[in-house]
Amino acid sequence: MGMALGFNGILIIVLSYLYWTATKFLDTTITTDYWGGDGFPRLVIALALILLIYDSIVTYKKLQRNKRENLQEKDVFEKPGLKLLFTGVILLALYVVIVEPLGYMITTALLVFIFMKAMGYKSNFWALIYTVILVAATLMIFGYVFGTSLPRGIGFLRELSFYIY
Amino acid sequence: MKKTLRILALMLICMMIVPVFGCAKKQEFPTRALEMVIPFGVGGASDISAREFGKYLEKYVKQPIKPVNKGGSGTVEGFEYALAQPADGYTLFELTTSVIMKESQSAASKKFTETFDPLVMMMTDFQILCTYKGNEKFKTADELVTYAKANPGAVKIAGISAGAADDCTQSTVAKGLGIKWTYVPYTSGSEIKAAILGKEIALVQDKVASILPLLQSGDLIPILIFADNRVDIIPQLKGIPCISDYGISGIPISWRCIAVRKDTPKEVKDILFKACSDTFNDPDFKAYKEKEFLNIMDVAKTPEAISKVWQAELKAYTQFYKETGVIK
Amino acid sequence: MVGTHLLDALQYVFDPLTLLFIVIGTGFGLVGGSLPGISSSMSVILIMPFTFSMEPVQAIVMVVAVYVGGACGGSISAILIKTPGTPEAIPTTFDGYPLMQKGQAGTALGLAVTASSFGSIFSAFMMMLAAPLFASVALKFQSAEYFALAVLGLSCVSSIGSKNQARALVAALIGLLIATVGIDPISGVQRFTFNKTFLVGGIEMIPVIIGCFAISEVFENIETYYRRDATVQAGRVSMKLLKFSEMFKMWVHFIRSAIIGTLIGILPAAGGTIASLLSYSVAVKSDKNPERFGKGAYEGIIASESANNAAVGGSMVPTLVLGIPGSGTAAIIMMVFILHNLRPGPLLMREQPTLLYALFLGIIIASVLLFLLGRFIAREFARILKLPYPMLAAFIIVMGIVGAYSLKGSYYDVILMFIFGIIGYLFNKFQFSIPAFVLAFILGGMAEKTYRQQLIISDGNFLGVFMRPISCIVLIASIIIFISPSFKHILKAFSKKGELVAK
Repeated sequence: MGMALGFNGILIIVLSYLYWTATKFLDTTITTDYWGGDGFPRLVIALALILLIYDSIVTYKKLQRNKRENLQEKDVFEKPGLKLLFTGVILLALYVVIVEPLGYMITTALLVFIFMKAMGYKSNFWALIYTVILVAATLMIFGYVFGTSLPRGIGFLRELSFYIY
Repeated sequence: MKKTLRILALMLICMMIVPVFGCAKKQEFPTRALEMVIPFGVGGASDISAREFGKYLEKYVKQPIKPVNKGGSGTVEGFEYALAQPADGYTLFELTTSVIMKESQSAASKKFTETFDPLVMMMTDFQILCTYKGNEKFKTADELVTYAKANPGAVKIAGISAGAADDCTQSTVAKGLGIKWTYVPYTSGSEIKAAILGKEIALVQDKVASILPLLQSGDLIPILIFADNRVDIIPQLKGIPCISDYGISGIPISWRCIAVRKDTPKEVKDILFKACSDTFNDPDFKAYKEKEFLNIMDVAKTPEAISKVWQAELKAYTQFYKETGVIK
Repeated sequence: MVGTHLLDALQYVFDPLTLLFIVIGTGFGLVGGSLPGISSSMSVILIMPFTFSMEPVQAIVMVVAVYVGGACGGSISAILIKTPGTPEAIPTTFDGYPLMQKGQAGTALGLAVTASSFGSIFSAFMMMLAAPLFASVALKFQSAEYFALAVLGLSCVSSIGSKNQARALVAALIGLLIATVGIDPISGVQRFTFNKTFLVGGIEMIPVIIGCFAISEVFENIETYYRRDATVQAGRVSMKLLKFSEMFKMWVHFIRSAIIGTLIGILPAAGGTIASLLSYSVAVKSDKNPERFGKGAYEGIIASESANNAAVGGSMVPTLVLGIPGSGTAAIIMMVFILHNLRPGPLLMREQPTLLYALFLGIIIASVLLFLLGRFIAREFARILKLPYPMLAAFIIVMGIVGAYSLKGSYYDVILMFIFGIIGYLFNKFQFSIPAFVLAFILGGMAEKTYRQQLIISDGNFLGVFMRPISCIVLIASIIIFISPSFKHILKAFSKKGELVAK
């Protein structure tokens, strides 16, 4: 429950910062507006802050009571699984960075393959087959049938992609 | 693992080599599909007309035209994308007045009018000001002016979003008429139509094609045309005054253009220009435009004339935003 | 008179070629709907070029079939992989996915398809019988009424998705806040954009819902993957239809949701998404024990799916009668009309009544087809559930990426999707209700905008929303709904105290 308090704390800090941002919105005379662009966000943040503080007090009291009664708390996060989770998040972050220069096809294939290996999938062969099928299928369905222009990458890769989708 | 990597590498190499040989043959532009960057999401009127134009353009460039929707940040993302592509003529850019509007706010990294050249003004549209049937306060533009002068700010007029084209047009018109009305921003044309039919607001401006059925049925009454000349060919608009009757000029009209990067080689630009003007004159495309009344105001037919329209609108928007405090 | 037109329409529609087009249209809509990021409006646009060369009736019936299919298709991915294929299917995930986890995916899909089918047939009848009447009702809905509807939808946030009411409310408030990012529609001011251009246009619905539902679920499963139970094998999923008697027990839900869906669908500024959210809210709030919802209640799926398909017929009403499209997809369908030289509006209905009947028949046939095609497509889609989890997770992530990207072709949407995946994961961990967050995010923009429109129209009267009869009634009802649970709570607390004192 200490974790929950910490999360509430983070939310309170972020929301307070946003409240401060909201006070700095530009003033325009575009319409005869009675409330202003900042009115609604400030009201919402203020209510959220009040509720968060109330919730934090309740949580804190519960925490104290649990301590007094020596109750074991359940962990919010499962530590053995976190390593894999972080790997996943980092992979996705990397993906977002490289997809623009390298294009959809190569990057997604890499993501799918590495992701599956990271999750402990054994067979290289099937992982590769699956990667190819998944990338080809999404290219076909989204690229051809539904006409989405998936990222093509830059330079040489871009020229290349025109032959494929 | 090693084996798989080897296979993977081999596959990649194969995939790269094949098209290189394909490229080797020297051909005249264009040798592959062209991309048409549409700075709007899928499904809007601007998206549909760009796709429509692209369909007819394919006939003249003899290559497929692939629409690329980049709808982020109110045209800015689409513009940035088109700007980042090589200046080889393979990337066409559709634009509407919104792009010029964004330029006046310096929203993108570079100025649009300084980096792109017009190819064609595909279609133009004009808007009309209407009120609902049975409005007792005013039925004509003259009555509107008298009423609004007596009750400043009492007339509510609808438009799409705040600080955009509608807002700018209306403030110019109001200034020209010497009256004051209250602008109520909505988010879509259908909301506005429901609002005027439900008599929540008294005035609405809309494109002729989208409002014509309601004029034909008599539910709405046209009172003023937002264009420089009267439109007598549409029976419902016969005898309706236009803004130049009231001495107003220089309001942004509604148009859709195709542009290409300025530093594209001249030969390529010429090929594209020819293809675009052929498409513009294509009888099927013309028929499509007639259905939607998108041909009545066709004014700017040369690149120079289009540039002039852009510059004039840029000036109008810049002034509007300075007055309203959006830019300094 | 009516008879002859109906006969004409029957002749047109029961032409083998037209029937084939309806089958293709429904199937295409179902597939598009089940893919995240491909909304029904996108499916209609993509099929539009093929309809140019058809007869007007064929073209219109086909695009309407796509629309019907799309409204139903979203439920398939919502139930199977917790990714609403279309925003309309958001509430379907609330109860559909828990049912899937309990091994009842087949039942959930069957319910979704039945409810969808019922919803669209119901709305088709409403459309045919009383289109002009409904259209005039739609015009009674102005800014004040839209505000009241948004408030009604928001009134259930405290009771969905979380035991901790304070945190559920905070989640909803954060949702309202995120809805304000971008250019303010009323004053034109940039809000919370931090000078980033990609935030100027606001945050789109699709990346948020894919992130919050699908990606956060993947994160959670990755976290617990180390202690997976390798012995559990997903079986073959096939659609199961409940017995008629079982369905019949829930008739209230079917009909009420279909009515809500049709009515909301008629309103030009509110489409299937708001219809299904509102219908879900009402279902939760009117139930004797609302705690069942969000854990796999059959009624939740019915409420959502029946309403979003009923919105199809509803949205065609103002399109045909007034020429005002009732939804984004209806706007594109209107383009199809125009390209065939038919201009929807008050005159069209008088001059070509056959069209209305043809449209009606088209919706009915497409709805019946949902059973056949829906069963087939759901079965094929369900095959992926048999994959080992690493493959399934990769599949969901790739679908999310492509779905978020194809919305506007923007990278930032993919980034936002991942960010909301992380936010959703953390919210789940700390019991901040995700359904409340998403509901508020979707309805928040409408609530704020319409309230401020009303302020301008009433020249600054802050209580203007109470001055109009419909909005006043709806608002008072929502306030009662909102406070009733806490009121009961307080009453209980008081009576307990009373008992103690008495002792």
